[in-house]
Amino acid sequence: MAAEKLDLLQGTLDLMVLQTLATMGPMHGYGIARRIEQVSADALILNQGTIYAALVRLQQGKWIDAEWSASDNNRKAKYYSLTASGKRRLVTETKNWERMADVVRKILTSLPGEEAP
Amino acid sequence: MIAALFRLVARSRALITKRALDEDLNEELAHHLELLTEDNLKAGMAPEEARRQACIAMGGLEQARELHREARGFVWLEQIGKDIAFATRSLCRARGFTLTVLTMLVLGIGISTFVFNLTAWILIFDQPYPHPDQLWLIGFKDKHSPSNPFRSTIQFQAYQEQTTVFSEYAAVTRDVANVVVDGEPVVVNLLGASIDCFHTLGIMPVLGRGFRPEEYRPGADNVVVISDLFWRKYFHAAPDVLGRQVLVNQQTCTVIGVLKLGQPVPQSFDGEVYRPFIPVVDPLSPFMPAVFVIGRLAPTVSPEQARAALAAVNLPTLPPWATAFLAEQEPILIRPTDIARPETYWVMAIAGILLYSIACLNAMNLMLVRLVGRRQELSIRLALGGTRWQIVRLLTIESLGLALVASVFVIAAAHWLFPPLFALITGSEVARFGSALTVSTLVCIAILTLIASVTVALVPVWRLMKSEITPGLKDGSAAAGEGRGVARLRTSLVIFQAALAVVLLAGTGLMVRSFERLHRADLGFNPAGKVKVTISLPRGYDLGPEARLQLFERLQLRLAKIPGVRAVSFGQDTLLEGGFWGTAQLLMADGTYRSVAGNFVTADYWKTAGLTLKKGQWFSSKRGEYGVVINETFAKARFGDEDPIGKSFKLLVSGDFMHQVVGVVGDVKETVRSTPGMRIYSAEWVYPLNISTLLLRLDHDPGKEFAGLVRHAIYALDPKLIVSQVVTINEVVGNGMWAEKYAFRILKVLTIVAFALAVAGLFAVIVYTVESRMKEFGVRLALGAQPANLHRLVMKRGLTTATVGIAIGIAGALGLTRFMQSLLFETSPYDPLVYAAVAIILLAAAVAACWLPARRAARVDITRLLRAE
Repeated sequence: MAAEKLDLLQGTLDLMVLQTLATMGPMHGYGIARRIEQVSADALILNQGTIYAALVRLQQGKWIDAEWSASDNNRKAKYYSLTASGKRRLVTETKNWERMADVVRKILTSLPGEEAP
Repeated sequence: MIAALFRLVARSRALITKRALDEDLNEELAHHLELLTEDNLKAGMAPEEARRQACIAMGGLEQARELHREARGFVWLEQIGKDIAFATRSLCRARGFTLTVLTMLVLGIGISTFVFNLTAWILIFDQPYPHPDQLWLIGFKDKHSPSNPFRSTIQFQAYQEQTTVFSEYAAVTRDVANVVVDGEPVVVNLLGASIDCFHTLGIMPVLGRGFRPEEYRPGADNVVVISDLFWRKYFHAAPDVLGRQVLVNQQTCTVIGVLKLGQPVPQSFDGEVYRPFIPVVDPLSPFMPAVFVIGRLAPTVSPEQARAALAAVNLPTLPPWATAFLAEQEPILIRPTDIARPETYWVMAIAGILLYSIACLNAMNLMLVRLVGRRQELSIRLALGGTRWQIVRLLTIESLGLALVASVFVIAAAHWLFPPLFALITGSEVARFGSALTVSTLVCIAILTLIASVTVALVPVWRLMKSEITPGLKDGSAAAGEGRGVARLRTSLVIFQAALAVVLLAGTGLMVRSFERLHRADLGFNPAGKVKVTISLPRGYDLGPEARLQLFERLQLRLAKIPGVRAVSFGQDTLLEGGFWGTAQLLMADGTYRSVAGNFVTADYWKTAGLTLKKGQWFSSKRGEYGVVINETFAKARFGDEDPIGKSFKLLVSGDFMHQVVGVVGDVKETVRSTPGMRIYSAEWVYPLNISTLLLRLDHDPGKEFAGLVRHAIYALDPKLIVSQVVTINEVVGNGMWAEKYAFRILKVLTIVAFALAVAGLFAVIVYTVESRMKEFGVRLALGAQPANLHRLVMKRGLTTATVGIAIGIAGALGLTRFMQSLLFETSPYDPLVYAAVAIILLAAAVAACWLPARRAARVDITRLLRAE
């Protein structure tokens, strides 16, 4: 039986978008959504429409920039790129995420095995 | 933190650039969808299916847009914007409702703001002087009057020299003077200001400067500071007024300063022209001139200590009569505001609040009517998933919007309409030049607007919360009439309004009654047709006693020639008005002194004034016959049951002559409120020094042009004479009642408006009730009721409502009108006649308000009603 798809954890989409832009360079909205789906190997339920809310949020925080330019197939597309403060934000947010994941893992592993579901 | 700030800015900007952002997003989403569809096609899907799958993966375009909007802007703000637009549209559609509510609110907020402007300076704010709590007006009490707000120069000098209880004084003398500006003579109030006067009261000229210490020397005092009004009127607000010359009582003076517009000064300290006051005491009349003195208490001195110190000063040696006269006086300290009669202002303020409440209740009632009328619309909104909160928000926005629009009108009125109204009501020309739009006025308008909008929305929202509205869909068609709860609520609002109107009506009624009593008050003579003309001689125009008598004899002959004048007498300034300056000292046969009001008048005076001789005869005009006439109060107090005729005493001002009582005359009241004091009447030649006034008798009170005739005649006789006043005695009597008249004028207007609003409220409710019960009436008619029955039914409902309101109102009025007691003349605040009249007036109005709707109910046309179904 295939593993059930995971629901997106609150607040993680912004981090994933930042990381995607950091590794792939400037991309348009569809590209970012595709990339996240591919990397997660389709294990995530990503409502692609939500990506735009995340993008505008990040843009307003000046962590990413947006610019209209021609895409590969010569169509107009809005390209997003990481700003300097976005890079810093990615570093701190990644650290925060790792610490949080660590804490959660510790708490889960410290519990007696038979009580885990 | 900075990022949060960026976001706030960006989100706010997003509100404005909304359309551009939406287009941007749409393009982006379209691009996204296209790419997704292409990928799906590449994966081998059919075109239709590819697009469908793409849409699913996007999670719906509309949702994506909504999420985007939520993230980028303030959705609730946009929502409120939509609500405002909706409220505006629906209010514009209900034009009748909107205009009525606006009128109510503008009247309510506007009139109460106006009243606030009139009263706040007395009731809320302290006096606008530096450290007003240290300021005390120095006056005195004696057996004639408990409070006289002035002192004589000789006492003021003694206070300054012998006590340290006051750190500084503001003192003024008042005079009427001829001032010539550019060859144009005008009669003005000339004030002599003491050296610290401006400093003590915090007065600072806006143009030029105040007086310098070196200008308080004879010869150096030819400088004047003028009021703003004087500057505007006679210098046409010329900016180069400083250094200009004016003639003040024949002396050339230089203008050195202009006071600011509406410069607040205590009562008696207001004048058009100020000059340095250099105290000079004339041994012949040691009490002249009178000074109004405000002292600033020195630190750590209590008012009681100060009073004691003032009482203990030694005055220079004076003639025995003057010493005896002063011995009867006791200095007192008066709060400067107390002369302003605060109770007058309280009555106005309460009336303003009542009117405001009536207006708000009316608006609230109309809002409720509208809510009930919109039951179906609101029910549909609820059924379609609108939340109750959204409807509450809509109602709040509507009422807030209405109140705000009303406040804009009020602000405009405060700027353009209030100043002329102030001028009209207070009779002060200064008010005309200002704007009533001060910070405190704006705050007042803001508060009143807020309260109004909250109250107006309150009851409808509360009803809504109690869910009276939801069954709207059901009962909209079949049931007759509005919901019972709403009907009861609306009726109680009307009752409340009627009650408030009754309170106001009762207050005004009591004042009407009081004024009626005033006009009928027995003054001891008939004031009608009597005119007083006061002449002052300019400084430097010194006349000896004989010359003065001759001058007035000439004036007498001249004025007697004016058409309509039946008789002319003359005497000192106290004709038919008592007071300080008429006071004379008597040395009685038993060696005691006695002070009485003395009138030195021509022998025909009693006929001109219309006094009644009770005993004996009037004194003759023959020189050397020292006959005097005394009044009844004096006769009773001094001689009891003995016959006063033939008794004698010395009159200290006239020298060493025995005066014999030749007659007793009826008492004359000085003002309507006073009780008559002891008086003597003696011939004008006995003491001509103070003679300044002519009394004219006509058949009835003359018109306004009469003063001009008098001034003209006097000018023709001697152009140097100053005619300081031409007034009817009726006006003089009325002047004593300025506070009452002032309050009455305001109260009258407020009551008329409040009454109209309350009746309109009743009318609206009855009309609406009839309207909503039409079907019921139709059914009743069909079942055999007579039209007359329906008529009676409606009338009964309206009159019951009014009666309950009247009853509650009268109870409230009985409690509130006690505060008016001091403004009423010989009228009890519980005067049954007034309350009966108020009840009848309101009932009559209620009958009138119900008549039309009742007739409409009686004429209900069943066939038409059925067709409408």
